[in-house]
Amino acid sequence: MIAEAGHFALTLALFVAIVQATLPMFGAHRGNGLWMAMDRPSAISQFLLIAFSFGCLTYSHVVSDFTVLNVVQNSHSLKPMLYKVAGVWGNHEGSLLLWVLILATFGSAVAFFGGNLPPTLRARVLGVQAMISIGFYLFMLLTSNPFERIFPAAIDGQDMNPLLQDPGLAFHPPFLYLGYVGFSMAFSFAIAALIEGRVDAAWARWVRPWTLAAWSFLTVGVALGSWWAYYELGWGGWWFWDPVENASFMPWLAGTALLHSAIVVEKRDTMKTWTIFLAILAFSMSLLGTFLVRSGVLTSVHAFATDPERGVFILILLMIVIGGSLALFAVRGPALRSTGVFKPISREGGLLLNNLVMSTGCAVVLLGTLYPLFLDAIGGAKVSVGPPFFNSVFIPLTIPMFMAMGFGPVLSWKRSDLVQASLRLKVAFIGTGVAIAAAWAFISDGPFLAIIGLALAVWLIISTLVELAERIKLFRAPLGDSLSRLVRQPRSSWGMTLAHLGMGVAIAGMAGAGGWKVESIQVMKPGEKVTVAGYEYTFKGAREGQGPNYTIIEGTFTVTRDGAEIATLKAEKREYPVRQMPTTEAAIYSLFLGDLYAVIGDADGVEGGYVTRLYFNPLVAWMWFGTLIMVLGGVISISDRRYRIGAPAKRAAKKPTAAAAKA
Amino acid sequence: MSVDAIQLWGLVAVLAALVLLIMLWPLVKRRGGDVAPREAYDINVYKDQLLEIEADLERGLLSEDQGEAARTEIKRRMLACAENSEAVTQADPSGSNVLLISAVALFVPVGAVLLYLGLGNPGEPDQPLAERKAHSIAAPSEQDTEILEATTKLAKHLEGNPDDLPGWRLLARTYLTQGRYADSVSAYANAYRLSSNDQEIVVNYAEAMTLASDALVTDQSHALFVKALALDATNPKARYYLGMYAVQHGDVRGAMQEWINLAAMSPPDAPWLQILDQQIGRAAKESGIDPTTIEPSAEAKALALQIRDEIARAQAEQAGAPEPTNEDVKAAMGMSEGDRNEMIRSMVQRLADRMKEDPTMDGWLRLEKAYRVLGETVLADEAAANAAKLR
Repeated sequence: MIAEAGHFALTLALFVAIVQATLPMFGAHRGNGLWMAMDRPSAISQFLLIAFSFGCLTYSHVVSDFTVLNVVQNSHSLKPMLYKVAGVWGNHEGSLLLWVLILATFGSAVAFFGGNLPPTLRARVLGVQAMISIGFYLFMLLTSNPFERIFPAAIDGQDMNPLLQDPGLAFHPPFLYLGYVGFSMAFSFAIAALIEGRVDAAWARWVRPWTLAAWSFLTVGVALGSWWAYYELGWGGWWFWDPVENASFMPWLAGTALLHSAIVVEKRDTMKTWTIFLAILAFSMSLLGTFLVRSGVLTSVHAFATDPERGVFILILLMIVIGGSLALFAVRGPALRSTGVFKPISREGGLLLNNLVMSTGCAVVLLGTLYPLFLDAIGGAKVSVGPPFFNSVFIPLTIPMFMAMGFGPVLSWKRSDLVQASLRLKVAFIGTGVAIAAAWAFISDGPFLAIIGLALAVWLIISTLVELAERIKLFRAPLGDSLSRLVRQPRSSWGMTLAHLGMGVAIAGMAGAGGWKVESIQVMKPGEKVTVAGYEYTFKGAREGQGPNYTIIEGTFTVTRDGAEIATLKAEKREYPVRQMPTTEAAIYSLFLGDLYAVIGDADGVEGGYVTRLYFNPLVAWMWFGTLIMVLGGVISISDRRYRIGAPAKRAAKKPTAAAAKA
Repeated sequence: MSVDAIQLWGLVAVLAALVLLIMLWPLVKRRGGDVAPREAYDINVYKDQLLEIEADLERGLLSEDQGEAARTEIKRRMLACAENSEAVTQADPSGSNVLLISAVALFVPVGAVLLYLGLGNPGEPDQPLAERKAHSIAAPSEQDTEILEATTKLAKHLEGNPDDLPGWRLLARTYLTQGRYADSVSAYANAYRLSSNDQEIVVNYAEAMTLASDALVTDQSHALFVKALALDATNPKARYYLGMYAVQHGDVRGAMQEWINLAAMSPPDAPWLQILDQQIGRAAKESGIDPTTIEPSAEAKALALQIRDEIARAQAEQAGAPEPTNEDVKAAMGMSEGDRNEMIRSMVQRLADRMKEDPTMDGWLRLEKAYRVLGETVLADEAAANAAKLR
């Protein structure tokens, strides 16, 4: 009954979405306020229905109702409760339900918090949102129905991919989806603006909190994915340029570009078409990301859905959304007039450079990800485009951008002077020089690129701090005055400062872990010692045991440095008999300057010997710490007061109380 | 209509009514007509931007010139937006509203119900695993709790007496019938530890392992099936699963050979024959091998003759008993729990009926064991007493 009710709620939501996609749109077109007013209650209804539906599917998973096909295929009665719940979205159908749940959540958020939006804009935004919903509801109901039943009930479920039975992966998709779907808001605002034919500074301000939210969520999602790869795949790496990783990275690049270009629209009323284009691009990349992973066209650990019928539906959906929006863009875009002008060396110029690099980077990643697919599809050779391609194209592209990132915030709007800006950043120049010299002196080996990376990180961190110091007139005004300036900083500038600082810290982590990783792979017998980057790993032996639904080999290592014990590491290798799949659980101990990382493999035949992989990953934790700082910047920026200015007074004088409540 | 369907349609009606209430409220109340003109919203933002410039000037982030230029820009925007404003009309107070309300009120629920009827299974209740387990034995749930209690008690007892072979055997079988395969595997592991050459233990241990890994015959269980066959070349369960192992490793012909051997040596009324035929048929269809071209092996033919003799001899003494191979093979074939248990029950009932007419000590003991597995302690004690009388 519950499963069937969930199914009905989904079909009902489809019809609510049809109303929401038509009536408010026509209302906005014909200036009928009553029709437009249908937008908010419809969005809220959709949210209630999908939340109910999602709850029903969760119930079926929790009680192991093996008449629901989705539960049979992805659950098992013995699975721990956390993964019974996480299993709801750890599969194709369930993840789509999560997708539309988040879509409906954003829609109802606009309904609740969108009181300051012009009614025509809001009606159109929610109308476009509903159109996206319709596409997804149809996709689910017709090809990927999570409420498909089988009779008689299966004896037990087929379990979930063991690699996914992990807390990191349980929470990685929801964040990623919050990011992906969040960009649907920017998209809906962009399409609504194209329909209205007006993109102005006010529009940029209205859309900004939604873009910021999406960007923050996506950043967390990408970071969680990379963290999971780091400790679960057991190769000491954190980014593999795997198509699935790229799928989440492309919308992030486009979204980051969008955040920056929208600033220009808001402050200077220019770069409008470009911003609209980026909004369309960010969401298109999100859709592509969702479907690349979900359609199973990629063969990788994430590809758990394979079905050609779905593929065709997905292609059609992508064509309608991306093709349709670009067509509208082509028709309406040229009519958008910009009023502001600026010189190349200016704040706008800096932001434009960011945009160019981000979108070129996005194009590079897109090419590298899709090229093998296209080649495969037209019957060509099977090729794989791997890290060498991405590293040699993407990294050089970003170097000038990180350099410019230090300059950008100290440049003034409209026109600026590079020499003067450089003078203001002299502390940062000196600091960077010292850092390069120190790196050169203390670390004799390692790639040149890593030193550049470290230098860029130092440059970015210092120049960001210098800009903050300038803002608050540190050392140029009395300390108390500077402190009060610091406190009165608008939250959006805090957001910028933190995001740039976080990026600097993250670059340091990437440079360190990418350039100076030390690894050692060997067969070890108990008592044997191996020294990795000055840390002495002693293999204490391994024991074999039994987990809830897997068998374990657990190896114990103690790590000492100069005779002093630092840590005891317990690395596991698990074998899941139902799926006949092994997973590794790397043992990781984080130090300030790097991670100790140990992995145990199979017994080697030699008496008591095991294959072990030992690593020292310098600065790797900085990467995720830096990401956290970036996200914090995003969150603080959303809370800026300028996004909370209220709606204007209603025009009718018959409601004096409403007029008095005007912000 | 079943209670479940009534509940479902009740819920459907509530959902639809709630949604319509929320959606149509503004139409009924005629809310939304009175809104500020579009440009008022823009101007609100621009006013705020002007304030922001004042704040920046005050903080010294902008020079007086820059501030003035920015102000001019913003004021120009204010003028521009006043030019292209869209009019929002008040709703027409005439009757067209009723038409719209009824259109939405019809379209949304009717469309949703029609689509749902096409896609869903409105009559089908949920079947949570716990509930299915509770209802799996046709008898009332009082007995289920008794079974569960007895199982728990037995497991407790074995903790203290780890060398109680009959106890482990019973516990393992009970778990197997309850579908607790992983538990059954560990109980059988103990029984196997105590008696590794008992062919019944070996084969059931391997079967439990197989069921625990979703009918996948692992290398470990394969080794046990081979051992069981070495202990008794006629063991049908071992032969059946060895065929499964071959299929799972891509050797369809080998599997068909194994099953055809088994078919050849099975008595004509063997309950597994039908399933076996299906398996052979499926394998033939997949591989394109005609099963009639595969002859049973010489060994199988010899064994078949031997079995026929034994059956003829045994028929004089007795027939039928809760035949373990029968139901367990069926269980592996995906028979539902309820069906399987019902089958056990009916077999036990048959045995009990026969004992009333023609009591033998052997039969009563078997009946006692069956009742214990089913958790019917009282009946089991009675059977034990009857057996003792005949001793």
